[in-house]
Amino acid sequence: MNVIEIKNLTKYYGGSLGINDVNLEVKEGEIFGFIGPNGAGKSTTIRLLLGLIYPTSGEAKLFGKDAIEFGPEVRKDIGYLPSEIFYYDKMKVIDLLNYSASFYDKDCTKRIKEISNIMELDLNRRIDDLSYGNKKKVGIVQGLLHEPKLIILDEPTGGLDPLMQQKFFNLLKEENERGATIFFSSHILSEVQELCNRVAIIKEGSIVEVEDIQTLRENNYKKIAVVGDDLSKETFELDGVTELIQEEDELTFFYKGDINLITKALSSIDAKDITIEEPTLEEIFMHYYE
Amino acid sequence: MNIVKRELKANLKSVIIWGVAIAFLVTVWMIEYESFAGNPAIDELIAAIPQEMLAVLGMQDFTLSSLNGFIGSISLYLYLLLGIQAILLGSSLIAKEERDRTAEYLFTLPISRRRVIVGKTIAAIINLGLLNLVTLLAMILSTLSYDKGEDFYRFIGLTFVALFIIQMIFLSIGMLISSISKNHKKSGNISVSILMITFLISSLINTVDRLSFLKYIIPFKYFETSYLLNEMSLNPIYLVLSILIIVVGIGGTLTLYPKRDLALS
Repeated sequence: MNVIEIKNLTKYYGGSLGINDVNLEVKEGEIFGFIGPNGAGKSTTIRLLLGLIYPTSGEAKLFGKDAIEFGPEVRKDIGYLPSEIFYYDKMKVIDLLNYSASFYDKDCTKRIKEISNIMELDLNRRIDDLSYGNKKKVGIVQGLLHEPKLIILDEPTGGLDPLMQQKFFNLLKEENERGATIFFSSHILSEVQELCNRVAIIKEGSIVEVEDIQTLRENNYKKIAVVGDDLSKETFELDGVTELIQEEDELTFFYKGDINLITKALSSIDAKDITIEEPTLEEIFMHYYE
Repeated sequence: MNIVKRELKANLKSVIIWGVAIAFLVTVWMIEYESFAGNPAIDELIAAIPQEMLAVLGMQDFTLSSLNGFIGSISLYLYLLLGIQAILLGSSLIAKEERDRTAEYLFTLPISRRRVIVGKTIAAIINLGLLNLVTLLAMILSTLSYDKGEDFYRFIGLTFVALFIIQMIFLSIGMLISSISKNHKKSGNISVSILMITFLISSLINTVDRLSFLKYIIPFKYFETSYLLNEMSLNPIYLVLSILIIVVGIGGTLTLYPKRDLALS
């Protein structure tokens, strides 16, 4: 079953483009990454899903139901962590969480305690006394307290220190094992790399690529660096070689293609050192951004 | 219900401040009346002031030496003050979620925007009612020692029903403005400007006869105390107009606000 189904979704703000003709399907149980630079349309897409804004054309379905017509109903099963957290400043954390919980038809007190313990959140402080990172923790507890079937995260890690981020990711993995689908938007690729099964890349309001993260990383590019005297660029000017750079006695490039061709080329030179590694997603995606 | 409760709590401080201020003002006014009570000299003094001048102040038809007449002369200012509170409440009721950037939280909860507005409106009406009762109570307590005509309580009752209707009118206008305008900073300014302009026009109507047709769109003219005092009832035409404005204001908010894009950062 598709938890998220987006068809030809387009949004213009007045005359300026938000997103254009976006199509996406996210399956139940997936951790789906939504990658793109700032301003590419990630938040717009998410806000359309949540009914905060309305599409110019196209439609979005959540759990098979129209995201606008059945908005309040489908949101019962959605946990949302926005990129910037704003709550009622004068409320205490626990009151805010209980208030949030009062909108769901279940008892969330136990889950509130559990997650706040994991995230080391002090429930008795007032919202306006909290630091940016602590507000984010409130957001995490608020987004997860009703054990949602779909978790939507918009740039979720800002403000969290690495230790907290790890705890949060573990929490997400647990939620996912429990059966929750996760839709994770980010411009930081390493976080996506750690969590996601599939990713969509959005650029200037349009989806450029939807790929399996394994396919992306394993079957495509190799990042190769060769060190040696008398290296010449010409040796490696082959089909499938990109970003070929020579710096003093070191040559670096990316390679995509028949691995035997490149080993042949490598064996023809007098090398002091060779490294062949998987490129980071960042490096893979560079050419989508350019 | 949870929304009503939260809204009431969030507005509690402001209601208390308004309540104390209005109660204080009413008490001071009624102490001032002590020197007017049953004193024909004050009526002579007023009679010496040019009619136009009195008209601007909305005081042309009152005998200030009688309690009803005195209260009649200040009721316009009660309409104005509680009108300001109501229109500000109305416009911030909706706009504050976008202003404080809490809209992204509140409206991603599993509740429709319409139900949020219904909850907020109920809380606002309770808020207006409380303020109205506090004012009424201050009025009754501070007039205990004065001689009252037999129709005093009926007159006071009518005045405060009229006051409540005026509060409701401005609440609903404030709500409608902020549900249309996506600019939350502007909607408060527009609301207060509308209120002040209607108030100024209402004094202008008193002096310029040719403008009297405007009285149908100026809520301050709907329940003038001279009518209340003479008829001891609310004018049915204006009662219908008031209900119409309130229905359009709140109904419009319930229809328009759920359909528009929220202004998010």
